[in-house]
Amino acid sequence: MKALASSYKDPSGYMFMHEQELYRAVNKIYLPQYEKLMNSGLYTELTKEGLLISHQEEPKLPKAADVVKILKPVQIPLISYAYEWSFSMLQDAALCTLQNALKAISFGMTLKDANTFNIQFYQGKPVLIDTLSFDFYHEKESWVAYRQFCECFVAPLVLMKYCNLSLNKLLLAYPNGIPLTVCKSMLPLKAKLNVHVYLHVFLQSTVQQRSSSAPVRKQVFTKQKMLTLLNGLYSFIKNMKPAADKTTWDNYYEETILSKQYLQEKKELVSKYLNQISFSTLLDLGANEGEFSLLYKNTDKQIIAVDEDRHCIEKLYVTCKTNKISNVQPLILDLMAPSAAIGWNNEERDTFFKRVKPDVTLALALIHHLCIAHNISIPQIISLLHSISEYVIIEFVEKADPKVEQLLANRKDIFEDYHLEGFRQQALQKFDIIAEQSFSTASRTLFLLKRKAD
Amino acid sequence: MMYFRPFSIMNYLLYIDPGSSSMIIQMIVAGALGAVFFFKNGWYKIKSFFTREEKKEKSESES
Repeated sequence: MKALASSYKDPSGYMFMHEQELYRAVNKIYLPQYEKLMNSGLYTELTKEGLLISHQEEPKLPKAADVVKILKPVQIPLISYAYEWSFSMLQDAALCTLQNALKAISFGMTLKDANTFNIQFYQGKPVLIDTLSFDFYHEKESWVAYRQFCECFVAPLVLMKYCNLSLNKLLLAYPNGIPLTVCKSMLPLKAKLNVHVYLHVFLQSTVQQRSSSAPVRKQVFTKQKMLTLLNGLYSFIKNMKPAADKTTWDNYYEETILSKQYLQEKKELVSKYLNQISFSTLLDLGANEGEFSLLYKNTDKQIIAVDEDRHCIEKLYVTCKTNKISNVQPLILDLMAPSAAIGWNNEERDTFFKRVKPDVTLALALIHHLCIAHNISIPQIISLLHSISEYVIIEFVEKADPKVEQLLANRKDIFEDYHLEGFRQQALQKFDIIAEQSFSTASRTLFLLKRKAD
Repeated sequence: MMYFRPFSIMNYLLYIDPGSSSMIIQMIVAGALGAVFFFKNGWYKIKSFFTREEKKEKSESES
């Protein structure tokens, strides 16, 4: 039972794979805490509220010498990371962490760590996945995870609020939390005027720097102070609003020159293609606000809607949250720089495409952006799609299309190979063309491709 | 059920470094937030007292 590469920090236990399913081993040293979690009513309360992932004990599985329990948690179909979340997703993940911490206190336990990797989105909601995050609470102790919480959640959120919505990308460079000195150096003066930002970021950073060499004097904390701290953080984060900046893709479908007839025709054709194949997971690349992902809302299909535009993903998340759509998972992903493998030995966190295994990929109105705006060749795109899923629904947008004309307006046309026949020939290298149909309302053609056997 | 937890184990399970000044900063933050809540509540009470009085006067004059 080899521990996963990301499961090495906590001596309480570790995660491992067994017959392609995830399990958690609980080490002997953590048994008292685990029993308190289970017997005090905390586990029941947290799982009932959807704040903690539920699990079942697996007594029949063989155990290593130090392991006392094997748990099988509910299997989360898609693992995503904070640098792929929109503002509201990170905000909800932070609130979920604080709710776990507050509930734990009322049951005599404390949350001993608070990093973003411990939260995952399951059925549309954030949930704590680290069952071993709870320790005994002693009233005289302060919150051991306070600094970690500030670096992992508060720092990216305030940077997104006061500077730019894309700054949660900094978590790729600082996966264990953005150092408060870094965060402080980027914040504008007006951020300092917010009492919460001042206390949690500016003051904490200053005190840390000043007292790092000073001798530690034993101080005594109280439960009242702990509750004030956690409730203060909760109301601060709950009331946060993202920075208002507009991107090219805001209201794309409302303001675009594309006609309603074209959209309707495309929806019908996409549905027709999808009805021809059997799939359970669909990846929508360049999903925008989820116009096509939402065709399958509230079904048994798992839909992963990705776009590099943070506003679109934010809107889609809010739509899903408001309408209680639990099977559509929006994520921010820039295809020109998809999430890399990071952490120790580049093994702790996998690349995006290693974590996502769809049966079918939608690439609608995407190819011209990759080819014309980013100089990616058609064979490169075909090769990527071939590595992602068995089926691909892809829309080819010809040079005569107004959107392509816009892209070419200010640059030299160096794309001799960019034409329908060229695309068809390249696609046939790695796929069989199951269906192909041109739109009556636009210079575009929709293909249904099936991966050729290697 | 009560558990005896030696200090060394307590530190062992708390595997992250809270920072040498964590306790100090949390004392300051909790104190400051406590004061903010105290004054906010006080202010709301004063405000609601006067708005109540105002409403009362208004409803009395209306009737």
